[in-house]
Amino acid sequence: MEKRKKQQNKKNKILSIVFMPTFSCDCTCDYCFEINEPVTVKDDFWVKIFEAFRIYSEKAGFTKLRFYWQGGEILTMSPEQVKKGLEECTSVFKASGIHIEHRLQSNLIAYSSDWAPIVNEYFHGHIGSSLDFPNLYRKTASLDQTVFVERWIEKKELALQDGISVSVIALPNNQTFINGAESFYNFYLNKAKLKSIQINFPFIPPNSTFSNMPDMERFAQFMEELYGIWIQSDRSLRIEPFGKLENAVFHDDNCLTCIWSYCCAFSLLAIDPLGRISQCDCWSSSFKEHSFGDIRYQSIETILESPNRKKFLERPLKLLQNTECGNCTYWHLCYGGCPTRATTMAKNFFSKDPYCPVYKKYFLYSLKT
Amino acid sequence: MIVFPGNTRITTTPSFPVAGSSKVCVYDVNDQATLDQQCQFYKERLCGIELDAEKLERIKSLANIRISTLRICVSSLDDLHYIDRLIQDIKGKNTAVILKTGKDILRVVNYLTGFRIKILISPVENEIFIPVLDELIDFYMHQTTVRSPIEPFHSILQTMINLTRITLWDILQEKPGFDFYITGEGKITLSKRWAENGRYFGSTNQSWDTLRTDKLFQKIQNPNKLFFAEQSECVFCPHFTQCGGYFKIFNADADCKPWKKVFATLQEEIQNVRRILTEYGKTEKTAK
Amino acid sequence: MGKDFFKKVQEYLVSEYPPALKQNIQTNMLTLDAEWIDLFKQYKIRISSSVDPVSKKLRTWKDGLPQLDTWLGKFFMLTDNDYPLGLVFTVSREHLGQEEKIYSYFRNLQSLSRGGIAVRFNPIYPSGRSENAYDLLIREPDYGKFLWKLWELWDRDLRPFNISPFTDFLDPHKHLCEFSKDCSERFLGIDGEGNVSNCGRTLDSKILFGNVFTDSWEDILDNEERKTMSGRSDVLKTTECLSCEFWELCYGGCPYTVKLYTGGYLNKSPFCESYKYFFNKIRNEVLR
Repeated sequence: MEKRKKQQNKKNKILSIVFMPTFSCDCTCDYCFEINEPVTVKDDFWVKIFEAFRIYSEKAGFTKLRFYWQGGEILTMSPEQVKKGLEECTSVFKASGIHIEHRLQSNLIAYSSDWAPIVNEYFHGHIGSSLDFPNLYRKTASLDQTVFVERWIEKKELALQDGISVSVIALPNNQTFINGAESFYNFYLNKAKLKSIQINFPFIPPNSTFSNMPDMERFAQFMEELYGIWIQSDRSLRIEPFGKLENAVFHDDNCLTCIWSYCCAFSLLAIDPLGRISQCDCWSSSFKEHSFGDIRYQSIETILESPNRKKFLERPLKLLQNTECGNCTYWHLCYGGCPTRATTMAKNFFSKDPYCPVYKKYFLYSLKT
Repeated sequence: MIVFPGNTRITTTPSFPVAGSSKVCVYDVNDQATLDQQCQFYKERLCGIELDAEKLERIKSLANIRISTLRICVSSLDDLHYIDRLIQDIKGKNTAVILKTGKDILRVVNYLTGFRIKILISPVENEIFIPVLDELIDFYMHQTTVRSPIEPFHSILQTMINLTRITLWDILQEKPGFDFYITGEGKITLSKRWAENGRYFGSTNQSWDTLRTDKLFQKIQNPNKLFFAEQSECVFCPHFTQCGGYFKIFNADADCKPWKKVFATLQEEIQNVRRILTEYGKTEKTAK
Repeated sequence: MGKDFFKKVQEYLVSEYPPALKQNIQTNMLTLDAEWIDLFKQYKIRISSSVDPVSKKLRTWKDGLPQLDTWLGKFFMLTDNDYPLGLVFTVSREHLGQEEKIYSYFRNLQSLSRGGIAVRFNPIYPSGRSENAYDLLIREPDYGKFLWKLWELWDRDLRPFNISPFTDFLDPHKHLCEFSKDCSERFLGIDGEGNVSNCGRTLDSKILFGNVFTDSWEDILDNEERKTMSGRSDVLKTTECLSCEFWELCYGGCPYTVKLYTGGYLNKSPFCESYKYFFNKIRNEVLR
């Protein structure tokens, strides 16, 4: 079944869309890279958005679209609003032959059982969320970091009762490394009682006062230790990117995370509530000057020819030709990493991802193991 | 105009269309119009298109081309720019890149193998590749994430493992009696390499019957026999089964030492793997 | 032997003997032609020939020129006709240190034959033209070292063709004459004049048991020298070969070579040390 799914994925031409129908958020996380604005897609704009994608997908030959609903915070909208959007999408793509999938990302703080029918019907009964350990930066106006975690766990349990599974993105910080990989692992497995987590690599939001970047050396050490624990525990907790890397190396599965794809611009786009297209949510509100265009005034096909997008397309080859990435043993696993991290941390779009030392150590360790 | 038998593969230019039912590879394709025309003319017979990377600039799209092998000649790191522009089309095809440069070789192979594009290097271009052969073979053998073959290493390795009688002649499209090459002047020979060495069987304005009675054509139908008859040092070489005398066919003094080293390296790797498997088998038996 | 006589002999054999009769011919092939090949095909004669591609001075015409060119031409006649044959290589001191070259030659030769060419390796012994060629004789245990080196190469390549005596040692049911316990019970040699001996080797040295035209078979088989040969293994088992762990692989070796070196039959092979050296190396495969 797995093999058939892989083969099917190989035949499918898939476009992933980071879909941000709102910039509103109920959290005040210190490290957030988005600007919290009370901007939400208008009722009559849903159709315009989905029609623009339908026209483009038909021309470009995409057979599958994945809409990753994130914000802001989706749950700050009403279930009715979101349902309207989902229904408009279904209607627009009906008889197009293009397969549509929806995925939901939420901080879960505003979750209630009212959401369960929509999540179960449209989002495969699953919510992707975020939870750090230890939680130093995630909070709301009324919930400090500690209470935030408790509230989150409560909401997660509620979602589970409603038949909804939850996975998280975890952003390690320097305290994580001090606490150690074992306590990290135990927290997610036993305290948060999760089945799946994804480790992301934090970056400094532009124009932000937040500056607590992780220590690279300790991060690398942490990744090694965590990987070892993961293997020893027989992979009882699903951890990405560990699983995806193993699939890529041992099962020839080409589905590494976006930061390690050859060029994220090949198959990923973001659209904000006003119809502005950019590379992904990292660029959408923080780097408006890097936006590609606006579907209110242009077709997606034209927007994608924007010089701002061309940079994303050119970046991998430039890294290969002009930097140490071209000679790197791990080029096929990393391709120079994430342009967002290069831009925000190394201040150079055409430089390699500053997490390079962390990736290298992790790749070496996991390949040896 | 010559008509080749059906069980042959002819490499030709657009100036010399090949009638009949043989498979055809076309080189010197310079623009979209020529590309479309060749695809239209040969249809299912077309088994390859060969063009220089910089000519890709004149190709708008390869999306609708159905060909089993696209061969692109890359002469520098900069040439990758032309491939990158069409990479979404190219990576879906059965594409091979013919490397014509040894400079920045690791960068070039990293790029190409990242897209599972097969790489071909010409073993006789010593000046280009001898300085980087060690690096290249190390990359091919030990890079865990490489998923596309680097020829001729890959096929040589296969022939060593499977103990088949495939030699460099087969791998590099110089199979006498099967492969034919038509030059820009309409002369017929075995391959571009043979043309560059001034060896021809005939020309396109002859008949097939005339061509196949050509002395050179007859002589090379069994290249192995030729080497034994001449008592060449090749027949004493431990790598003759992979090489077939490829390097010394024109010049008995040609230097093939660097490639002997390549063959020996590959052979050694196979022995290592066999040893490991044998030991593992013993351990399994003990464990049971 | 002329073709007409050969034909007559074959016609007689066909009429008088059952079809299961197998015929092998040992020939230098130097006067082989198409007619001979047709005759061999017709009567299903298996061909074996000696060759030395390495030391050309050892196999020459009467004028001293090497035979190899001519031999190769005849060899190609057979392989072009897909005619099966086996080869014999006589190892002398000249060949020590050239194991890889020799092995490679015979391994590469396989590419000319679809059915494979078996090769038998024999050590040189002081008989005939090499009776006094002391510079060619091999010192012990050098022949064993030669065999071991050859084996390593053959084994490395996964044993791609039959090499005697290797394949014989590996097969417990198969014994070459010189490693059989009782060669005189299983072999006879007869020359054109009716002289009877133990085998082709003893015939060459005129060790005769009698003559079919003048003696009865009872007298021939009761010949004293033959009886000594026949009882040889019983003697050796309790004397020089007592408690040898390789006895059942060797049985004291060829009585003829013993006679050449010692004048008698009741000693072990002069190559004992070599064979022991070799058997020790491959003991895991041959001792059960």
